[in-house]
Amino acid sequence: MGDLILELRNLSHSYDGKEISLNNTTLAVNKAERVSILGPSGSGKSTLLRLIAGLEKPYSGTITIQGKIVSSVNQMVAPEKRNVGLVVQEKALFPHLTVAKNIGFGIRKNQEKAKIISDLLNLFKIEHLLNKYPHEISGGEQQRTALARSMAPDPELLMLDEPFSALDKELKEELYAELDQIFKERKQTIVLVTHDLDEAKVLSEKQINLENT
Amino acid sequence: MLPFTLLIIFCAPIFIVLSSLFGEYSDNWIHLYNYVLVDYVSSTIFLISGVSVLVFFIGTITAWIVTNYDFYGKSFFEWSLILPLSIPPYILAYTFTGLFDPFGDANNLIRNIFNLGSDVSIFPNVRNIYGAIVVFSFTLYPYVYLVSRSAFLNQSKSMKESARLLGLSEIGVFFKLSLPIIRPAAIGGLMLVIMETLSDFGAVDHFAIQTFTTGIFRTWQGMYDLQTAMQLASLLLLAVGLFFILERNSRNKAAFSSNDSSFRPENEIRLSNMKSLWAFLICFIPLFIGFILPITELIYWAFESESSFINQKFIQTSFNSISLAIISGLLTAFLALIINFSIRFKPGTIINRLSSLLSIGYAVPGLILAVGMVQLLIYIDNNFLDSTNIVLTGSIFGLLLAYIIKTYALANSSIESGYERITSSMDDSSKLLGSTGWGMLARVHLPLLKTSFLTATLLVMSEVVKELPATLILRPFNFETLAVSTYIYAAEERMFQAASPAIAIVLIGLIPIFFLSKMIRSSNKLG
Amino acid sequence: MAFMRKILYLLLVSFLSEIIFADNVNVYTSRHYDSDDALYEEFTKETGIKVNIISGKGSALLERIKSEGKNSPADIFFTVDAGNLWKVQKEGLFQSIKSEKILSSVPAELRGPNDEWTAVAKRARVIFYNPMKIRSSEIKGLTYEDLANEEWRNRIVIRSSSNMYNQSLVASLIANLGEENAEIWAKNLVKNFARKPQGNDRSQIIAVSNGEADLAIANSYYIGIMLSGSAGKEQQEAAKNVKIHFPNQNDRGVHINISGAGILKSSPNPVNANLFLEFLLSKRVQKYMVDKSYEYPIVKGVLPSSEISSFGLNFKEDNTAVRQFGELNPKAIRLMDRSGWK
Repeated sequence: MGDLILELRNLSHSYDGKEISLNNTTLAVNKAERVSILGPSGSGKSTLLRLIAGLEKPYSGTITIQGKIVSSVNQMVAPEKRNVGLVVQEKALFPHLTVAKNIGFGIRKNQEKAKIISDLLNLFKIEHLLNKYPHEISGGEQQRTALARSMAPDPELLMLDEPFSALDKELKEELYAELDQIFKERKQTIVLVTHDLDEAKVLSEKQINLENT
Repeated sequence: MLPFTLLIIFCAPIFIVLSSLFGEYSDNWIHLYNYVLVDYVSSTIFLISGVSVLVFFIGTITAWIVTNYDFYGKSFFEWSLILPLSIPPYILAYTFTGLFDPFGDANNLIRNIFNLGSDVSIFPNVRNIYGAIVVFSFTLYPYVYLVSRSAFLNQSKSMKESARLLGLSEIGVFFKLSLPIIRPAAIGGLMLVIMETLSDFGAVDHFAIQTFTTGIFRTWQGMYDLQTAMQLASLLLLAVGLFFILERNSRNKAAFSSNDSSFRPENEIRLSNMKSLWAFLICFIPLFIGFILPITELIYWAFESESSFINQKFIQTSFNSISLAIISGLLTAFLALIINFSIRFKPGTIINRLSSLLSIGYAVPGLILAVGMVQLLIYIDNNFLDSTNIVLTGSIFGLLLAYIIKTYALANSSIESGYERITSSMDDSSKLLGSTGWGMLARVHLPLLKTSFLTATLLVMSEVVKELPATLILRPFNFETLAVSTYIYAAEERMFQAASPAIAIVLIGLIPIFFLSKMIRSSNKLG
Repeated sequence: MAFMRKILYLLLVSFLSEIIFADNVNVYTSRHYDSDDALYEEFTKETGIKVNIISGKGSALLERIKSEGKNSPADIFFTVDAGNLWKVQKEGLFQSIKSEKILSSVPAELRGPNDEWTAVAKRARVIFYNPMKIRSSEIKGLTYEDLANEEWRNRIVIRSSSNMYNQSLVASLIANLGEENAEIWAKNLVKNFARKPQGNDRSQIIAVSNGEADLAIANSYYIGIMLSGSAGKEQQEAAKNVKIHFPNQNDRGVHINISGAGILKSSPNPVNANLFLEFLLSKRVQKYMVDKSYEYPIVKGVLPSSEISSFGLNFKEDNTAVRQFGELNPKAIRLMDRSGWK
C-alpha cells in the first residue's frame, strides 16, 4: 500500500433538506491509484466529486486529503486550498483567455510556468492551438485543453466527471489510449465518475459501483 | 436607401454643431485658452473618472451579488436596483442640497434630535465636484448594473468552479475571472453613463462646478458667443468619438460573448447570516442614495407645498409626458432595429459610421443639440413644407425628432447587443426557408430581439420623461411636460412646488422600469 | 385604440392650436413664475386674447427667434436677463414701443435707447449683513468698491461667476470705473471671499445668518421669499437675522437688474402684443406681480411687498448702466475669469 491520498468516511449529503443517495459512502484512494465510480444518473456520483472538491458541504461524515480533514460537519477547507483538480463535461474553459493562458491559469510557480504550459500542450497534442480562443476550437480540443488545465498545477488528486460524454466514439477511444499513457507516466491519482463500464475499465484499475458501497 | 435617408436627417443637427469647426474662431478662444480651458478640461476629466470608477464598482458588484448569492432581500434587489434610473441627476442634485445644505432638512433633523445650535452642520458640503460625482454615479449606475447582470447570468457555474479549483478564492473569481470577462459589456454601459454625464447641465450648474459643459454655456450665454460654444461642444463630441473608437477596437478583439452557457437557476450560493447582512447593505446603499433618499425628500416637499397638485393641468402635463415617452420609445427602437438590420448585411458602410455618430450625439449638451435641431427643423419648414408658415418647429413632430436623436444611443446599444447573439447560421436557415430581407427582420429577427427591443423602448422612455433642454425650446406653445414643470419651479429654487411634478416624473419613469424589472425576473427562470 | 385616437388628437391639436384661437399673443419668455400664469389668465379674461407661452433659457429662445426669421410666431420676448434684451435689440429684431401709456409710466433709463424694450420689474443686488455682528459704523456708507478693501479679508460670500447677476454687477463696475480698475477690484474681492463661490443667492444669505461670513452679496427678492415662509420655517428664521444694506447711496446708487420685454418686428399680432405690455405695466398688475415675486415695481405709485418694503424704499438706484449690461457682459466674464473668480 502506498500513501493514502483520499479517504471518505460515512459521507452523506442532503439537498434542500432531502437526504440524497450517498448512503454513508466510505472510500479510500492511494497515491497513483486510479479508481472509477460507476452508477446510473441520479445516484450522486457528481455530488460525491463536488464534495471532495469542496464545492459542497457534506451533511455528515468526513473527507480527508493527504491525512488532513478537509470536510466535516464543522470544518471546511476552501476548494482552492485542497490541491485537487476537476474536469467536467460542460464547457468550463475561460472564454476570454487563449488555450495557453487557460492552461497557465492555475500555475503558481512563475519561473516554470512557460515550460509547464509547453509540456502540457505537447502532451495533449494541442501545440498548434496555443493562441486560439476556446470558441475557435473543436469540442475534443476543448476537452483536451480542460484536462491539461486541470493538470497544470500538478494536483495531488485529479477528478474526472464524465469528461468524454459529449464526444463521439472515435474521438473517445483515441483519448482513452493517450490518457492512459499520460496518467501512467505521471503517476497521477485519479477518481473518475462515469456510467460507461468500458471507459472505467480502460482508465482505471478499480471500479466501484456507488449503489453497492 | 431608407436607413441612409433616415440617418442623414437624424444626424443633421450633429453635423450642424460640428460644422462650427469650419467656421471662424473668435478672440474668445485666446481668452479660454489662457484662463479657463485647462480648468474645464481637468475638472471634467476628474468628474468623468470619478463617476466611471464609482459606477463601474457599484454596477458590477451589486450585479455580481444578486446573480451569484442567495441572501435576504435578493429577489427584491434584483429589480429594485434599477429604480434610480427614474431619478434625473438634476433632481437628485436638488434633493441633495435640500437635505445637506447647512439649513437642509437632514441637518435640521439632526440638530432638532440632538438639540444642537444652528451653527452646527453634520453633513459635508455637497455643492462641489465630489457631490456631483455621487449624484451622477448613484443615478446612472443602473446602466452598468443591467448589462453586468445579464453578462454574469451568462457565466457558467462550472467555469467559476474550475477557477476555484485552480486556486482562486471567491473574491478572486470575481476580480480575476468574472469581471475581466464582462469588462467589454460593462464598458459599453459605462459609455452611456459617461455621455449622459458630459451632456448634463442641470446638476453641475446647480452645484456651481466649472466643467466643460458649464464652460460651453458660459461662453454662449455670458459671452454671447454661440459659435465658440458650438466649437467647444464639437471638441467634446470629437473626444467622445475617439474614446468610442478605442472602446470598439478593444471590444472587437475580445469577441467571446459566450452565449452557450449552461446557466442553472440553482447557481446561487446561500450566504450565512453575517454575510447576508453585508450583501444586503452593499445592495441597499445605492438604492438608498439613488432612490429612497430623493423620493422621501420629494414627498416631504410635496406635503409642505400649499397648492394642491392634482388638477386639470397636472393631468394634462402627465399625459403629455407619457404619450411622448411611449411614441418616441417605439420610434427610436424601430429606428435602431432598422439601422442595425442594414448594418448586419452591409457592414463597414457609411450607415455604420452614421449610426455611431448619432450614438455619440448623446454626449452633446441638450441645449446645444437643440440649437442644431431648431436650424434643421426651420430649414425643412422653409424649403419643403410651407414657406410662409412655421409648421414643424414647435410641433410634436419636431419634439419627437429631437427625442429620437437624443436617445438613439440607448436604443442602439440594446439592439446592437441583441444582434450579437443572433448567429449567422440563423440567417442562413431563414434564407433557405424563404424569409429574406425585411421578411427576415419581421419573422426571424424581431421575435428573437423581443427582449432587446423592449429594453430599448423602455430605456428611451425613461430618458424622454426626464429630458429637459430640448423640450424647453422645441415644444409647442403652452405645451408642458413634467420635466418642464419641475424645471420652472426648480430654476427659481421653489422646491416645494417642484416636488409634485418631480414625483410624477419618477412615477412615470417607474412604468418602463417596472416592465424592465419584470423582464429581469423572468430571465431568471428562462436562463 | 381609444388611446391611439387620443394621441392622434393630441398631435392634431398641436398643429391647429394657432388656428382655433384667432386672437392670440405669443410670448417667448425666460421668466417662469407660477404667479405669472395667473396673470396671463387674467389678461385673457379681460381682453379675450389668448396668451401662448414658450419658456426656456433666454439665449436659447433668442436663437429660436433668429432661426425662425420673418416667419416667427413670436410676438413678445420677455426675459429676466437684460443682456438678452440688448442682444435682440442689437440684432434689430425689436420694433419700437409706441404706447403712450407705457412711455409715460416707465422712466426712460429703464427702456431701450429707441424704446425697443421696457423693464417690467426690477431687483437690486444688495449687501446682506448680520446686525448683531457688524457695527453700524462699519456698514454705513459702504460701497461695492469698499468690498475689495483689506478689512473684509475672508469675510464676504457671493455665488459663482457663472451667475448672470454677478456678471451684470461686474459689467456695471466696468461701466463706472473702467475695465482696469474693475479688474483690480475683482482681484481684491476674490481675496476677500470667505469660501469658494457656491450655492445660490439664498445660500449666501444663510451663510451670513449663521455666521459663516459677515457680508453676502445677493438679490433683494430672495429675502422676501425667505421671510414669507414659503421656503420653510428654518429659512424664515434665518432671514430674520439679516438686514439689507443699499451700497453706493452717496454716489451712483445700488446696482439693479431688470425683467424686461419687447415686441418683435416680425410679430404677427402687434396690437395684442402692445395690449399685453400695457397690461403688465398697469398699476394693478404691477402690484400683483411684485407681491408674488418680491421684486420692485417699475411704475411709480406702486409699493413692493410688505416684506421688501420693510427694508426701506427710499434708496438711490444706479440706472445708468442698465442699457450697458449686455454690451459689457462678455468683458465682465473674461475679467472674472482673469481674476480667478470661480
